[in-house]
Amino acid sequence: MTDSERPIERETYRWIGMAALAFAGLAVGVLSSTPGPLLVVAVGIGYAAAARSVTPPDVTLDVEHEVSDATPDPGDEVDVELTVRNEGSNTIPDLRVVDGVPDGLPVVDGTPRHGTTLRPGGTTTVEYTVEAGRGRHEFDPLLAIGRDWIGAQEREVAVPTDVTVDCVAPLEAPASLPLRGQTAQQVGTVTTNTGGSGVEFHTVREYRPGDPLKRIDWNRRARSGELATIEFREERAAIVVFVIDTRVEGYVTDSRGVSAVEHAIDAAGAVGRGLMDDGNRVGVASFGPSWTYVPPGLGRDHEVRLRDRLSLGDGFSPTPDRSKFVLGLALRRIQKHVPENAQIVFCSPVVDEVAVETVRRLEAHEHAVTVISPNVIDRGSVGADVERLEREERIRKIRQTYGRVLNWNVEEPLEVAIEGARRRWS
Amino acid sequence: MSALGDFALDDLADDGPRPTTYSQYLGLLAVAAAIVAVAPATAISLPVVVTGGVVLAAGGLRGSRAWLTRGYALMVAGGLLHGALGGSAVGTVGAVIAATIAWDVVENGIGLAEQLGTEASARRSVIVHAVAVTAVGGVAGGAAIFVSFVFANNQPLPALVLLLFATVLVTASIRQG
Repeated sequence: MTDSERPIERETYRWIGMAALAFAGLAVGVLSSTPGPLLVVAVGIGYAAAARSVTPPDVTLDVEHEVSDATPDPGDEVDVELTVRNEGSNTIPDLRVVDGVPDGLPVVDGTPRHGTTLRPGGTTTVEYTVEAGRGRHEFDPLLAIGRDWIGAQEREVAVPTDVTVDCVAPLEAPASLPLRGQTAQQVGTVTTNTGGSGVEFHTVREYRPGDPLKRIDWNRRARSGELATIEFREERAAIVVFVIDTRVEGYVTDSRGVSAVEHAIDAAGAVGRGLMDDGNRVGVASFGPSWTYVPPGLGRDHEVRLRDRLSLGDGFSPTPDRSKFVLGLALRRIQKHVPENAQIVFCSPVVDEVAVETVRRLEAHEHAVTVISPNVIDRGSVGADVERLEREERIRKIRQTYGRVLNWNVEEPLEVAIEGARRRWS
Repeated sequence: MSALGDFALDDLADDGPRPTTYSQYLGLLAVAAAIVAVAPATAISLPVVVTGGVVLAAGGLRGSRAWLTRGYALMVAGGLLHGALGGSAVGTVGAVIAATIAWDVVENGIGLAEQLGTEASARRSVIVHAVAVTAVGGVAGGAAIFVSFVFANNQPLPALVLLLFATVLVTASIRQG
C-alpha cells in the first residue's frame, strides 16, 4: 500500500451482526409471546443505529521524535522517544500508532506501537530502544489508525517523519589478500612477471652495461669469471576496486540474520585496508540498482572516505533496494568509472548465475577479477543443501574459467579463509 | 470429511494473538454480569449462558474470533430462552447487553493485539471503548424497558405486527445507510 492511498476511511463491519440480534429477539418474542425477547430488538437496533451514525474521527497528528544518539556506533543502543499530539478539534477515542522504525534498526526494548485515547491537544509518549547497525536508516512514516467510540468506523493516516540515524561502521582490521598479477606503474607489492628490482628471484641474464652493481651475480663471477645480472620479480602497486554485490540476491542472510552484503563490506574494508597499507590504491563500487562509487585512492583521508561511503552510501543501504536491476547498465557503469588497468575484487555470495555472468563479463573487459564470496547458506534443510551444492558448482565454474575465488565461510575469520586460499593460489 | 471436521480446521486457522489482559478482564466481567442477569431462573437458560460464557472466554484466550462469536451466540440464545420461559424482561435484556459487551471488548482486544502486538499498552482506549459500548447498550436497553413499563400489559397482536414492520423498516434503512 502506498502512502498516496492514505488517508483511508473504512467501516470495520464489527456491528454487522446486530440486525441478526434484533431479528432473533423479534422471532423468539413473537413465538413465545413474551416481552423480554421483544425488548432485545431495541438493543440490537440501538447498537446498529449507533454504529451507523458514528463517523471516523479526525486524525490530525503532530509527531515528534527524540533520538538519544543520531550517529551511533554499530551495536549501540539508541533510545527513541516518540511524542504524538492530537492537533484536531475532537477527541480520538481509540488511537493506534505504529512508528515507522526502519528494518535495519531492530527494536530491543519496549515497543514502537501504542494505543490510547487522545483529547484535542493531548499528547502521548512512546519509548523504545533500537540497536544500531551499519548504514543510514531513515524512518518510515508513522502509521496511525483512529476509531470512533464503539469501533464501527476507522480512519488510517500516514504521518511523514524526518528522522535519520547514521551509523558509521569502522573498517575491519587489515587483512592481506594476494592479488593477481596485473599492475599499475607505481612501485608496490604486487609481483609481476617482469624482471627488474625486487626481492623475489626471477631470472639471471647476461650483464649489460649500466646494470646496478648490487644486482651482479658475484658468485658466478667468482666461479667462472662471467658477468651476469640477477633479475628479481618487479613489484608494483595495484589499483583495486571492490565491487560489492548489492542486488537483492546479495542480501541473503546467515543463520544470525546478518546479510551477505554486511559480510562483503567487512571483507572489502579489511582487505582494502591491507592493500592500502602496502601502497596500493583502493576504490569501492556498489553493484545493484543504486550506485555508490569511490574512485581508487590512497592515504588516511581516503580511508575515512571509504569508511563513510561503505556505511552511508545509497548503494550500500542496510536493506535491499527493490527497484529494477539491469545487468548491462550496472556493467556499463563499472566500465565507465573504474580505471581500465584496475583489478576488481567482486564481493558476492554467488547465489545465482548472474554473479557468474558478471565475473565473466568483467574478465572480458580485461579486468583481473578475484571473487570474495561470503558463504552464508545454512546447513540443515534439504533446500539449503541444494542451494549449497549449486553455489559450489558456480564457484567451481568461476575457478575453472574466469578467475580466483575466495570461498569464505562466514562462521570463521576472514584470515583463515585467506590463509587457505594463499596456499592454493601460490 | 464431515462439516464439523471442516469447521474444526477453520478454527485452527483462525487463531490470532491473545487480546490484551485488560480486554480479557473486562470481557470476563461482562460474562459474569450476563450470568448474574439470568441467575434467578432455574430453567435451562442459566447453563446455556454459562456454556456460552466459557466458549467466549476460550475464544478470547485463543484469539479466535470464530469461537468468540459462537460463545456470544450461545449467550444470546440463553438470554432469549430466559425471557421466552417466563424470566424477567430486565434479566433478558441485561443478559443480552452484557453478552454483547463481552463479545465487543474481547473482539476489540483481539483487533488491538493484531495491530499493535501483545506488548503494546492500550489500557485507556480499551476502557473508553468498553464504557462507550456499555453506554449505548444501557441507553437502548433502558429506553426499551422504560417504554415497556409505561405502556405495560397485554399488547394486542396488531401492535406486535406493527412493531415487526417498524423493525424491518428501521433495519433496512440502517443497512442502506
